[in-house]
Amino acid sequence: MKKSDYKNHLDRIKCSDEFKTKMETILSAEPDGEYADSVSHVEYAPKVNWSKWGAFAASAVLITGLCGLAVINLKGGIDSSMMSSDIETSSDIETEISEYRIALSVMGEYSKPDGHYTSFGALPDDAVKEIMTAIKEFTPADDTRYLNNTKSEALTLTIRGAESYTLNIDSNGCLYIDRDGEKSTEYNAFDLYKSLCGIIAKYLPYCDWNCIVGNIGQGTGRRLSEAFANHIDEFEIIDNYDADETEMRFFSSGSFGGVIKPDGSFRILYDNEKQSVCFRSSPEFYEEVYSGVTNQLSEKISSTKALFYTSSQGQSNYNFSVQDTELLPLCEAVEKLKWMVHYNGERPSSAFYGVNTLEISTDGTIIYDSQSNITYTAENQDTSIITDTLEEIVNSDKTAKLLKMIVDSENLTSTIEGNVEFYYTCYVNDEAYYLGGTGYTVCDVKNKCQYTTIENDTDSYYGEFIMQKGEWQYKEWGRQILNINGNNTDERVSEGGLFFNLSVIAYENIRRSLYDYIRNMVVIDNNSLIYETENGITSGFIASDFQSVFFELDKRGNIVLFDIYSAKNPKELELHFKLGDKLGDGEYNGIKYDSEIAIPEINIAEN
Amino acid sequence: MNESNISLYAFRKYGDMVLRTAYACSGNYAEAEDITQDIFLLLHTKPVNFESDEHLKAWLLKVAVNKCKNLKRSFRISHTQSLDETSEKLAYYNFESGESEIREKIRALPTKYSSVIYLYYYEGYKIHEIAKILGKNENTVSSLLQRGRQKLKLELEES
Repeated sequence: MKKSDYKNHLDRIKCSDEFKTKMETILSAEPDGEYADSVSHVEYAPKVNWSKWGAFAASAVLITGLCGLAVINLKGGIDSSMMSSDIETSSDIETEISEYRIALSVMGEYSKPDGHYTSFGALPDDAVKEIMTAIKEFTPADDTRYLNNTKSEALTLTIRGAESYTLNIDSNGCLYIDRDGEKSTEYNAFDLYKSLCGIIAKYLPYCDWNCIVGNIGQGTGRRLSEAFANHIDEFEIIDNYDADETEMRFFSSGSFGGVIKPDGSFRILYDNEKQSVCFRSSPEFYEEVYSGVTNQLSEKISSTKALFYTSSQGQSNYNFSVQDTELLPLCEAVEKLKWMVHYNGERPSSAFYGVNTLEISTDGTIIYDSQSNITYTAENQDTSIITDTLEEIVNSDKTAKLLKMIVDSENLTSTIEGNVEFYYTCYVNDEAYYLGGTGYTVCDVKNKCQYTTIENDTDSYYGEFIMQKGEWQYKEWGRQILNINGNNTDERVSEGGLFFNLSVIAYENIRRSLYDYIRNMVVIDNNSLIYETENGITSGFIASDFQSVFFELDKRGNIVLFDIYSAKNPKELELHFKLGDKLGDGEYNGIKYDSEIAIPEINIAEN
Repeated sequence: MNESNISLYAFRKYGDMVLRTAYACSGNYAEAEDITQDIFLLLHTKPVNFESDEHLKAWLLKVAVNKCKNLKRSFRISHTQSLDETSEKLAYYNFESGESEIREKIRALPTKYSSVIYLYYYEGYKIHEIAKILGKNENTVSSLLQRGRQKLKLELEES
């Protein structure tokens, strides 16, 4: 459009002769009482005496609605040249309705967008009217004791437009106006707060639920929005409502909440759920709401291809994952059950399966969403469909299958067929020791042994699964520190830990470090002791901070017995090891060695 | 300024302007007439003392803009017009056929944009003057002007 076209078009707009004649006649006559505005919805509300509220000169309270309610404009003082003294129409407010925020706040921080708040979007016209009326009829209390209490929750009525104004009122009754960052005096408005909450609760079913519950998933928000929109004509406020165990929560935000029963009747809770507005609807509405709330379970499961398993045992935390796996069967299994929704409910403890942000208990009865803090429970139902599906997924991956057994310390007697070798990542906390890194496990079915190693940048761990008395036992051998002192060397220092029987692979990995001990023993350092038993066996003993090492040598200088004792209990044999390693040349005083000689009792004596 | 009958004086001097303002903001000439009537009748029943003609003009503009906003908010427009009346109005204004597009664009434009567009490009007010008339800050007016121009796709030359 050209500017000239615009101007030329408007130039043509003039009062017609007929209109002029009519107006001349009317305006020449005496005024006939109050003129009734032919353009409706310009209402001049009774003036509110704000003067006793004190200094509002620098702030403005503007609450608007779709129907052009009159507002009080105290901006920059009152302009006496404006019509109707203090009151003008709200026409200078933007047409878009404000966003109402329910902010959970502490210490008065209501307006933090990243805080715990819920946006309810635009309230319906009737709600705005009621809110306006409540505000206009409100008189601040003289009692200011509420103002000093800890602020827990606040309502923020915000106007968006050419300028933004907010009215903030919290659950302790503190009210103030914020205009462009200028905050007004605070007032005691406790009763007003309750009134506003009640009004909002009454009109929540008519709000945009996609906006309200958007933070728990777009699919859920969209479905709830559709459910409310589809059944909005059914909603009817009722007085008779019996709360019972069939109620399902579909919404929770601060002191507002929503619960619904299978017959479609629902309550909007407010005032920390001490009060409620009850509505009638239909069972179809309940089904749609239920579908909307539980929909996010399917959404989250179907959006990923990874299943995690986590187990906490004391201070130890074990976990592994099954990657790139099809979780559709789990999705279908979840959808077959009926779930109850709880906010701030129970979450799985110790062991659980992880899918996306969901934590599924091992018995399948609890699903907790760590993102939304919602707990879903399958009460009084057979959840084996969940557990069976999860086990199938885990067992489909032989690595995951074995690892779960490792994590659960299960009996592995007959679970492995053929040799299995795999790599994995493991993080284990075991009291004072932290195990973490990547490693490999070799399962030697023939010899009924499994050997495990784990290494990271600084540590390496060695462990073994062994078959003892028909049962697999998982034990952690120990820890070695690599690259100590920041040097890039292969210097290894053995630290303490739990020691157990070593096997072939473990032997290969640690033999070198043990060899150092032996060599030191031969040198007879300050920490060693060599003595002869009555049978002429040369043996040695080394004590360090974490373990004690006892050894015996055969006549060729080979270690035939090598025991490591826990430093915590020197008399407790934790490791028995046979090592056919040649020590080296040396004389051993012609003592005859016999590898079958039993371990003598060790009497630890200080050097 | 004749103070004995301010409403009649105002209508005779600014009636066309008010009508044009209402039209520029609403895009509806029938409603523009109603708004014009309302404004002057209101002034007639509740006279206001103005310091000058300029003050009166500013007041009329502001009220006209406000009423247009109320009109657009309303979902219950009570005034309807028959097709015959529509044709009659069109004939009076002698609109050319090509101007219907302009009329539709004006009608479609939200009042917040149409009002500043009108005051700036037709009435020739400066940004700060528009801000004072409409009770907005100058940055807001500038922003609305820019956006309104984009929406109207006005090919506007700098004066």
